[in-house]
Amino acid sequence: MQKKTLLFIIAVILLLAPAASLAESEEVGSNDLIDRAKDYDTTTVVYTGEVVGDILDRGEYAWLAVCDGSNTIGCYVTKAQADQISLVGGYGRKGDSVRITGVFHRACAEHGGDLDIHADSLEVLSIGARVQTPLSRPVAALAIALPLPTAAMLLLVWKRRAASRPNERKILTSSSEK
Amino acid sequence: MIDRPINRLRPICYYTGLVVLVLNALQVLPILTSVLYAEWPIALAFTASLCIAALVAAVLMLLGTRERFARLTFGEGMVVAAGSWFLCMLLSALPYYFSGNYLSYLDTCFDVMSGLTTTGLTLIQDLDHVSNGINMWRHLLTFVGGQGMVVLALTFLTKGQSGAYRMYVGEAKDEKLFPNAVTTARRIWQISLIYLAVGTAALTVSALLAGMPLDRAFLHGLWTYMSAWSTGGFAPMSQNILYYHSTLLELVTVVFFVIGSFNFALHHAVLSGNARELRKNIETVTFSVTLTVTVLLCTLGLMKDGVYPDAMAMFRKGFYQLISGHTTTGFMTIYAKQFYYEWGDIALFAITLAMLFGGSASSTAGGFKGMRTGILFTALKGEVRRMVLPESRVREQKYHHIRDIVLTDTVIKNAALIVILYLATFSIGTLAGLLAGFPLSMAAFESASATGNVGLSIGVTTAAMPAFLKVVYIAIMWLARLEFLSVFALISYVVRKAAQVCKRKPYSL
Repeated sequence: MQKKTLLFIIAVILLLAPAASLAESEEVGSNDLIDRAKDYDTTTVVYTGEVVGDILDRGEYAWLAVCDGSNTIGCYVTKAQADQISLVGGYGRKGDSVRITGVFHRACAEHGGDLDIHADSLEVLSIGARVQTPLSRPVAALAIALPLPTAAMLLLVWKRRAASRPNERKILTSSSEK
Repeated sequence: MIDRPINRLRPICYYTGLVVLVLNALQVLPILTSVLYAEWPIALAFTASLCIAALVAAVLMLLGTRERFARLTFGEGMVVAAGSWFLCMLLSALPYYFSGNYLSYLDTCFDVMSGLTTTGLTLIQDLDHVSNGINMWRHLLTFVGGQGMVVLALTFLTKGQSGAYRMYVGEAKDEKLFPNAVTTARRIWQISLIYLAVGTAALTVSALLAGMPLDRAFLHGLWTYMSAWSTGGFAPMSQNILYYHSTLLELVTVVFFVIGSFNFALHHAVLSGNARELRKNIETVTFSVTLTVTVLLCTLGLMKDGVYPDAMAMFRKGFYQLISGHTTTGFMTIYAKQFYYEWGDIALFAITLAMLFGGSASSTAGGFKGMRTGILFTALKGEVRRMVLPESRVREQKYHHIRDIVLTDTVIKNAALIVILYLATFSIGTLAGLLAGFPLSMAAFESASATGNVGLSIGVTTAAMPAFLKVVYIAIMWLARLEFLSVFALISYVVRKAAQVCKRKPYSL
């Protein structure tokens, strides 16, 4: 019984330890960071989201665009941290989900006043994956059914235009007389 | 001799169909892009949309094929211009709707009108995951809208075709670079395509240096150029220009959107060897003055509130947003809500003013236009002189635009009329924002952005805003881009036709 209690206490401590370290730096969303930028300025924050777009390589450092579902925020990371990213999000791709702990800047003096986070640590929470984009059946049906009738109609316009050319002078005369 | 009476609706149908066909034929480019990147559902969406648009255009053209050489009146030219814009909005929105990137068809119409009018406000969802095909279409629309879709259609007409100039004027362009409107339209496109090559190359290199891979750098360079030159404001990523974190790229965009905001007649003069025109032209002089005043005001406001830590940040944030607003581009390197929470009233007032001043007449830009601001200021100066000086010393007033032009009462009246209409539209937009529950500064800022076809946002424009506000902004963007008269002509035409139908006696039906 004592053994079980001891194991339970150890498990609780292990579970709470990361939470306690998180409490030192606040986990915040992008809306909060933008709306209350003055409050968070130069404080250490924890920001979680999907890496999207590109990894902008800047020598020893890189920029990551991290989207938490509401907004995308630029995170300045080291090359080593950026190398952990295996997939960035885009059309048909869900990028790696990351948790970044770093210093938030409302108007970063080092980067021309950008609102950004300078990462101290980066943790990959989940690896990104390809996403199947569903094909709309009605749209596919239209795309298959319409090209031929459209081509026929355009051909008809072309022929009518050619046929009406001899009438040009008459119409011009009549319109100018009007 | 009159052979047969002409149904005046038919040539209108023909030319409207032609504009719709030419604009939507450009969907071939996003189709190719989608195929290249294996975005099959998007390729199918564009194929279906292209066919629907082409069918509608073909029907309209068939109705008026025989009467297409009839001489259009100025009013009918305006009806063609305004009608084409409205129909193109409805049809060019189909790929957006089929792509599933929008919450409603109204939102897709909003984005098409925003693109075509080079405004740049957007309601797209999850932009960071949008396909290359859709991004190509967004930027193509804004690029063509900047030059004018009627201008594009005119390049396909034969020289000397009657009614061409009247349609050209209907799209709020009245500069005749050549005696013939078709040649003028072709010259406008030549100028734009020359800059397209130079601008895309410069921005691709900037994106490469910012750390992007080559193919992405090229696409982003092309799209950013299209947006900058057209003073559009769309960007392929949700962070807009902030995404690149690059001073060089920001500077290159400034060069191209400032050039894009200049009058095509000025481009033509400079490219023809008359570089002195840049210094003497009323619009460049007015732009220098209004830019200096608003930059000083904005800097004062930002310094007073201590918004940015140093001169570099002040330049890359304060100056960039301001010149982007003044040229009616709408590129941003800050988040929309930062305007509201951080910028303070003085800086917001300066940027709102800059957005209303806008760029040059007969350019890709919106706003009052430098020409009108310059004319009204010159007229005011003349009135003051007339009051102060003896009558014998008061001379005829002139302003310089390509040549010296006498400032007549008609010119002043026309300029004042359009400025008054802009201010009225701005007020209506502000009122609509207030009715939707936004505070005055936010409502006025967003209304100035829509009225000036700018695209900077303070956070009002989201998919969650009320539908009536979306409709009001669509109408404002349309009215302002066509400088009111064409839309009024279209409305009057429709009302007149409806009245005729209602009055017709039963036996005549």
